[in-house]
Amino acid sequence: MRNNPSGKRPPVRKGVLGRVIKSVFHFYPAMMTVALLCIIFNAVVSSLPSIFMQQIFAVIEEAIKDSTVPAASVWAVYGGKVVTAMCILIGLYVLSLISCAVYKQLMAIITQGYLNKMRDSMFNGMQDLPIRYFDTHNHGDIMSYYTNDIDTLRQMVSESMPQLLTSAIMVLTLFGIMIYYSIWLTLIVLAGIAFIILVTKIVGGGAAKYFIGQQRAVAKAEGFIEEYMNGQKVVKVFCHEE
Amino acid sequence: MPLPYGQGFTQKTGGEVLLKRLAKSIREFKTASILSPLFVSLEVVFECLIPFIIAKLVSAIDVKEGLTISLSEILIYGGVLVGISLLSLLCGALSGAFCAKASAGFARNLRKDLYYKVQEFSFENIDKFSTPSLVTRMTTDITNVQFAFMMIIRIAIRAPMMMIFSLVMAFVMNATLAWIFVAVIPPLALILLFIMWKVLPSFRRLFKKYDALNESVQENIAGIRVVKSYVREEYEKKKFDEASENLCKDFTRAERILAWNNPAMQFFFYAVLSTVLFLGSYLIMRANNMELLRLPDSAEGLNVAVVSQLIVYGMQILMSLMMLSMVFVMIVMSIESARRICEVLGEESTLHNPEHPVYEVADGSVDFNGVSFKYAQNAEKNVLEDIDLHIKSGETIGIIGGTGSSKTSLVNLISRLYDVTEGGVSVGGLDVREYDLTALRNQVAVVLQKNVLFSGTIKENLRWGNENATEEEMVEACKLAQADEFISNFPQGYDTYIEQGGTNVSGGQKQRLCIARALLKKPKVLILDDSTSAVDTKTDALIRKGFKQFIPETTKIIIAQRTSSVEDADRIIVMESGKINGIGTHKELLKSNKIYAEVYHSQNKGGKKDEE
Repeated sequence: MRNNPSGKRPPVRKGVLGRVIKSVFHFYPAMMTVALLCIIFNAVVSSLPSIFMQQIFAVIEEAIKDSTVPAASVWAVYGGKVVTAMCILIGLYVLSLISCAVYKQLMAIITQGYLNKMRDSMFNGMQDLPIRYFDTHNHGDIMSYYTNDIDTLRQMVSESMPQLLTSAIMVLTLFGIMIYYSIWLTLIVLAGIAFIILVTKIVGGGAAKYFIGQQRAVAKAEGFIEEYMNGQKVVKVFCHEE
Repeated sequence: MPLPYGQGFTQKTGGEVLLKRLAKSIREFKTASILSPLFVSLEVVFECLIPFIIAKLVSAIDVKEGLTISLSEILIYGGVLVGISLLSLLCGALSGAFCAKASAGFARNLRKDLYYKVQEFSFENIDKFSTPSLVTRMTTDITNVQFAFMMIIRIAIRAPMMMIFSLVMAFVMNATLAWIFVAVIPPLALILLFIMWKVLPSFRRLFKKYDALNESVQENIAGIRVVKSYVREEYEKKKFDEASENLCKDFTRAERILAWNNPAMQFFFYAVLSTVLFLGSYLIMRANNMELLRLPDSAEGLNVAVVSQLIVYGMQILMSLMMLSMVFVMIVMSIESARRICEVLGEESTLHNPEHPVYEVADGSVDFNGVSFKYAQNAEKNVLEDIDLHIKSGETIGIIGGTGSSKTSLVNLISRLYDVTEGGVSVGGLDVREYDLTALRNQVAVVLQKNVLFSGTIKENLRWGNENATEEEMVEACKLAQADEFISNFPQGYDTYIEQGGTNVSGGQKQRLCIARALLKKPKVLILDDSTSAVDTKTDALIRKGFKQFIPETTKIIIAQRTSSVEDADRIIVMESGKINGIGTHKELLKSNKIYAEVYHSQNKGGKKDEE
């Protein structure tokens, strides 16, 4: 998060996320496709275990209530069903693990490569700018493209994007499963979610104001520190320490 | 003259000393710093109770199926659940609030301590750290330490508490299955630690490399004129591409190791889930007496509800382990910052006021008696060697010499910006070490070579020289410094706002403002360290003429690159690698001093003045 009291930097345009995704695809078409498929697969599988859990629990319930089978041989009769369900579950887990490992590795490569390419093209572009650009732009601002902004971009590509996708898919899958089991309970959950969103909006909105204020204050303090540290020797000469 | 980083403070500060020194800055926020972990602990306790109660509720419904489960019983359970959730929420919010208060207050105190410390610093101390490094320490490093502090008083308490309580509750619910969690903790902790141990050092190395890359960009931006005028853009591009590529490879390697963190975590999640599920079903079905299961408080106490809530505890344990490893990494990363802050806090100023300071400076005479000087105790060569020099009050002295001939070092000793290594410097007949520092510096005004104006109006900047200066005094000083003319041409005159770093005035204008600022002190000794280099020769001459006319009793010491700036001085000193090479008037030196004559002739070739 970077605050910008001078307002010299252009405002964030909408569709930046789209542009970033597009350019990442442009640089790494094959890798990114595989990574994306892995993310989707991983997300879907991650939401399935609850179904299997429910199935296994159902088997247990059934076993407990089945008074025709003597207690000692309950496992012998119903154990097979549990083992089958467990095997499918473990199989899914293995696949999910593989896809998770693959996409994590791919994203590490893609993110760093992408940042490298962005840095290079930024630097190359900068070298071709006229001197006037450097005279009219704060050097600190130009520097922050290389530091703050690149760091934020890293976060966006390596964390936010996969996270967003994973969450979206999990929400959809879980929603589907929920509806399948009970529409009424789903509605109750939805009402709860609506309430949470409302509270977050109220609290978050209030907090946002303070966060922006805090960023301003931090920027101001840092500006002050930078200025006075740079002029520290003058401060000393004029005995202006107080 | 910044020293190479690390010299002088190579001793590694121990962790304990580090903590003690930083802890001093907590001060009035001690209560908040203690309340935050307290409330977070309570939050965890309440949170850990929830799955337990849910299990009880579900078991109750389960068991009593077929019988009549009263609605009121469910409502009681529900009420207890809501109550505990709210308590947990309240404690969490309180802990968060105290944590925010404590960490923000701690950072504020620390920043203040640091700033005050730097105010006590001598030039030598400042040189030792270098200005950009001081800025980093007061901004980025403080933020890092603040973040670590936040982690320590909240998350670092929460995660282990969560782990312990979840484990305890799991054992209460079912000891057999709880052992699975115990079994899983060590290998996962080991793997996480192993990854951290592999990655941390390389990340620290990488961040240094990354900083170096950013620094090179900064250098390139600052020197863009040079790059352009020598048409080195392609070369710079290639150089940057290589450095960036190199960094990218290293980062990728480190990130790929780190990328195993997630699958490892997921693997253990799955393993715990499957084992608990499988073993749970097995145990339930193999229970010797199925009838027991139909009682809510059976000896085994195991049923479907318990298994599903045990899984919740398992997840909580694993999550807190993950949290703990993250906190660990962040704290380790911030240790470097803490160390850098403590270095500043532990630094002793190298200059001290005498016990019985003298507050009055008699006159503007300056005497160097056998002075030798070096910047660092362990430096091999002296910067100034055996200087004997006597300047009478009111004299105008010019100092000429090549770069590195220690002109600046010489004059810096007069206002005691540094202390001599050998010999002594006197002002007004008394050794500078006898004076009160403030009194001395108010009487000996220096216009530094690297001078700075601060953001604020021209008036505000001028008042640095004399807080109570009247408007007339300011105008007078500015007239003397030949600054009044251009100031009057600004639409807002003396109220013109100077941007940070003085970017909205030219170099020459800045220099003249700095001179006016020093003049307002009405000093007995005025030192101009190459302060008219960006001023044209005509204005330069006018300034000197004004000095002669209006402040005759002030001793004026002028360091210059141009001989024209010192030609009319009473005496001119020629410096050459830390020694006085010659003293005399312009005419004398022209005849007798080879260096001076050379400089003069090179600057006045063909009778044409060589403007810099």
